[in-house]
Amino acid sequence: MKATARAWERFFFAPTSVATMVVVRIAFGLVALAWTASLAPDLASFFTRRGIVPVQPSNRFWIGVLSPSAPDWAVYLTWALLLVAAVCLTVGYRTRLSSVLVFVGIVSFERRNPLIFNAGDVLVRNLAFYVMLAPAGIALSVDAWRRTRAGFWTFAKRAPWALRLIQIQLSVVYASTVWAKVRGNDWNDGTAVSYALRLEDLARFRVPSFVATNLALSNLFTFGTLAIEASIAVLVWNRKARPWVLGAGVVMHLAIALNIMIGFFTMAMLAAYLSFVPPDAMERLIGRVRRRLDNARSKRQRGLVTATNPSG
Amino acid sequence: MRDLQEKVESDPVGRAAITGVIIFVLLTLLASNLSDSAIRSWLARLVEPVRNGLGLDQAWGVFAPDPRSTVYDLYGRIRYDDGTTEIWRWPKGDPFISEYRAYHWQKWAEQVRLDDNSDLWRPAAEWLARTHDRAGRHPTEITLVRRWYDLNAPGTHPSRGPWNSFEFFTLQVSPSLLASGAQT
Repeated sequence: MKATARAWERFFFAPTSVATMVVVRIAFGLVALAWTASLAPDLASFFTRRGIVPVQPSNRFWIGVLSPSAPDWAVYLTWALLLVAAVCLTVGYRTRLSSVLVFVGIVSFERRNPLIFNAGDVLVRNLAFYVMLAPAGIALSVDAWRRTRAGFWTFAKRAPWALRLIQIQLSVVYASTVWAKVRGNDWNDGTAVSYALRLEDLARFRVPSFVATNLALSNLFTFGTLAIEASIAVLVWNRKARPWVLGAGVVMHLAIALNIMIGFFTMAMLAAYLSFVPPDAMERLIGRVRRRLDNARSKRQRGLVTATNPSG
Repeated sequence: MRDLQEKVESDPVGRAAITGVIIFVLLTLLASNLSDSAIRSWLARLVEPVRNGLGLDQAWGVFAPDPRSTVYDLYGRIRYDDGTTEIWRWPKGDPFISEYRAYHWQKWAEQVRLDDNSDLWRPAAEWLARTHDRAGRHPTEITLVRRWYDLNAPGTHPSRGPWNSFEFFTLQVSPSLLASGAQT
């Protein structure tokens, strides 16, 4: 029992560099920004009482600021606030407040008209909740810059419990989808991907018929998908296997995104993948970016000095 | 200087509260993702109010248990008072940027075509009437049409069946609908 408690304590609370969390915040902020922008052309059609779903589908316990009685201007105001909050979250300005506003905004739109959202949107909503709980603005943010210039690049060690919840969520997504798939017929007989690739209404680029209808290729893609998803669910927790299974996952998601229109699912999954980058590796990566930026700035300054003093 | 979250995380009571939050989230994950079972039902009853309030409800059956084997399409036919007709299809655009708008319409079309969702048909037709009303050219009739074809198993010929079509809802547009704007 004590060992379990110690393991729990270490996993959720042992101080860890926030480098990974702040990069997840930036990535998720960009996803939230794109997600919000995608709603812009159809706000009136999707969310007002004059639109295609004039009455909010009822579900007990759903909460949001866009209640059925909300006037149309509330839709536009909520959207504008969400857009501003997503920008603020990305750059880390008033990070906690902006993360709460992003969460409330996303939940509100998804609850007002759930008929236009898919699993990718559910993941965006879930990630918004976890990011809201994290100390996501204490580095690489305007908030850090305003405190001290050096603080921008300083990655304090903090309890990583919110980051751990994102990691667990990602693992659960794969475990759950594999479990749902193996109970069907088409994932067992190896034909599922062939059907998915031929859904014309979802196709981004039409896969050539000789590929989509080839039984051997369909078997390969179907069982390959199951193998990758099952591997990520389990082996992502193994430090040595992690880069390999996540690499395979990136290839799989990009292949899916290339062929099937699934909205923000790929973007949200890849943002969640970042949560598994070890903080020390993330710090090294950020250090390289910083050095490049410093070098570029030095070169620019030397160029300016040369330009203003051509005689040298 | 330590911020509020850091203070809470380093305080035993605060840490116990966070542990409670973590356990709750883990229970919501179980309640949403376990197989249909007595324990899932029990857990769902336990966490549902807060889980759904926080938007943590989730389902990851993407293309599961089986991908659908039917391709769908939906369009609206608008008949005007000058005798002309127009076909409306949901916005699709390019496969890069516009996709992130189009998939919302695709999801809606996937729902509105279903007989189980017949309560969505009239609002859809009324929305079409209102958005196609122009000075000197007014819609008089809106018809919603669903089209579909079945996919055959890979390796068989032909690989798909023929398109089928069915007019599943027709709305006679009243002048009062166009005048009122908002649906009552």
